[in-house]
Amino acid sequence: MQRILQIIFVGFISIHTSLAQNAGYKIGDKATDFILPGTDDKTYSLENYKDANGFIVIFTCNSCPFAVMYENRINEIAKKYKKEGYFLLAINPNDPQIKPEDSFENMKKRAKEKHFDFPYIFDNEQKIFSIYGATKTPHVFLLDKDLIVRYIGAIDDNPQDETAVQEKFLENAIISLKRGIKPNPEVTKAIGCSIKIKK
Amino acid sequence: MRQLLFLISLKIITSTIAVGQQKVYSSFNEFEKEVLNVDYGDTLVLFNFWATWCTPCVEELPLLKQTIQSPPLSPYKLIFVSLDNQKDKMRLRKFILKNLKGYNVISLTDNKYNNWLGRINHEWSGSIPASLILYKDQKLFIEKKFHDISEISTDIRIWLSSIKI
Repeated sequence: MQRILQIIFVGFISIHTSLAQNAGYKIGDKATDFILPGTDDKTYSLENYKDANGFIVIFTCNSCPFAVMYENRINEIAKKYKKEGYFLLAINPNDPQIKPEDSFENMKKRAKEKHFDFPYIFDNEQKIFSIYGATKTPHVFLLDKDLIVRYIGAIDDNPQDETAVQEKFLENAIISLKRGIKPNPEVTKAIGCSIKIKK
Repeated sequence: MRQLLFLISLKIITSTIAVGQQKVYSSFNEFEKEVLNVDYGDTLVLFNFWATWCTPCVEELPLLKQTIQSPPLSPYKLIFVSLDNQKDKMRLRKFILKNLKGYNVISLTDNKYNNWLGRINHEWSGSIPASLILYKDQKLFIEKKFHDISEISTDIRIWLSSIKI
């Protein structure tokens, strides 16, 4: 009996962890489009960008110190690459009931104050981030024009100090896409704030 | 022999700088060598990765502190690993004095995260809080916030019953 219970428990653990960890996109998966509101009160969907070469989808927010450290860098990347047809869309996945700082109103304020040169979008039903498999802010998904996921992870290798960055993971991945080659690395890791999910 | 001792002490001084009670590791390699890959014998060790700026982490700390009174297994050791930046060391020191006095706290400031997060666990996306539980040569990694003390002991007991030692 104990043996059976053990098997059930082990089964439970592996199911539990696989649900938690394997959910979301891997390199090569096709990403879903979405229809979500932006801070400029327009509605955003990837299909509206007819001539895009790719998309930089970044799950980020107002409240996370790591997201804040990257605000200027995200803005620069957005400006630089939209000229080349790579459009950056920032999506806030947090539940404002848990983090009031991440409310739609506060997103609007931040976008204005910081002159965001990219759509700052609200995942108001908290559905898109989990389909993508974002677990933290900031969390980057680079898609090619067919919405195939080509890079997942961090923006670069130094959140705290932009001047000490050695590897610009995201920009290097975009350059690889432009050249028609696989990004290297395709996946990177970084510390971030866990996404605040409605209870 | 004296020379060897000198070299060892020099090594300790250069690799870790004591700030108040907690040791600071600026390199993951040193942390791995001196903290993770230590023989803890029969002791169950829980490493909790947190930071002062991380709200769910701070909310979780009291629960983890309770595990000292009612450990999931005995002997038991709890080690808080702060991922606060080097420049926030004063903030960390104040926080420890107020909230974690008397507990094991280590400061890991190596921010080349992509080089080492996967060495804790290859599935770790990098969100915190996260906990690593070590028992003999077995490891359990949990990338979530615990909500009550029974959740901690249940997760650990289920895991212990599933591993062969």
